[in-house]
Amino acid sequence: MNRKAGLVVLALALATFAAPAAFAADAPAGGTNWVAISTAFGMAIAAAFCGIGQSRVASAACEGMARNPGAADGIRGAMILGLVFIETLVLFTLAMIFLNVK
Amino acid sequence: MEHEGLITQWLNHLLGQTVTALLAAVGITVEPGHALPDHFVTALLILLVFGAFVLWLKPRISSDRPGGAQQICEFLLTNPTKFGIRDLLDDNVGHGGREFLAMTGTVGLFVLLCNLVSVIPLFNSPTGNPSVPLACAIITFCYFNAMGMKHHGVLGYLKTFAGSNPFLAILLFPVEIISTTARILSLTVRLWANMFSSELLYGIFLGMLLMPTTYLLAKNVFFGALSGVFPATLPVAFIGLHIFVAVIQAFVFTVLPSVYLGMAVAEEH
Repeated sequence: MNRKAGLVVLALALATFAAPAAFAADAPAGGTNWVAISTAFGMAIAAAFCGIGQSRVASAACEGMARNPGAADGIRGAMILGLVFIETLVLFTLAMIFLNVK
Repeated sequence: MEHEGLITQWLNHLLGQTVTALLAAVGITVEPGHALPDHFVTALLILLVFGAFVLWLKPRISSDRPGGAQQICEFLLTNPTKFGIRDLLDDNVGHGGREFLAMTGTVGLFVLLCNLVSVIPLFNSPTGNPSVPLACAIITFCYFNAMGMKHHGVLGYLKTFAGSNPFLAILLFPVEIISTTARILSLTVRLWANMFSSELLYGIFLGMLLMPTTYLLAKNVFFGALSGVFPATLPVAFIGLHIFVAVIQAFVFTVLPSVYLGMAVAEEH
């Protein structure tokens, strides 16, 4: 039973390895670098919505801490966690820039 | 880069032939003089140093008179602020959480130390290179799936992806499989992008502050040296930001596997 489980896990791991490595399409020589322009716009949009989302998290946290100062530590922890996850989405876009733009 | 580059150069000098031959046997070609990359050597160094520390600490562990090092390490486990590794596992996994403590704690501590090592002047974080977070994410993925399969059995674990309603299972199963597999990508990119971007931010601001200094040094050494105060002191704020981001990302890299473990071994009501 343990060996079968091990084999299934190995198969799953190999299936995830089999995904092809990321590669970037080359821009036509001398043409407009659409990849750079679009990733820049993508980054700007991501940063804008991240700002809106994180502001909602922070304002809810401030309000909660003001209503219930005793729970401030827990609220602060939840706020940090929420901010981290929203920021991650923006950093995915930043990673796209570093992977795709020549 | 010199100091760390020196260790890498020394190891490449020592083991370069062996490593190149081993990799060629598997089919990977590397440049002969640079078989071992910097991030690998730094991660190995962290492993050796922390392993030596743990071996030093082990005989000194005592319940009656704990020393300082023991108390610090116990703080990592369980914390008045409820952010210790064992507390997280108890919160997210519930009953059988403590058996996952070794793996979750090890990966979390490794990520924490790898993130923090770039504060030391001549080191770069191994987690700034995409392969190290990818390795941690793959190990975590394999581990929580293996624990889920151990708990439910292989078929039972796959059945948990189908949800409770048999009519929706056709729709739900592929979605759940994809979202579970996407966890590798999200764990990797979250950690890598945060570390890479905070190091990059430090480098950018250092570069921006150095521009007037280099310009003024060419004109007039006195004013150049005077304006050197700014690049020497202001980037410290970004090092502080990097430390903050490093600790938070290590925390997130511990919370998320414990949440995934909790979801993998959860019993349907």
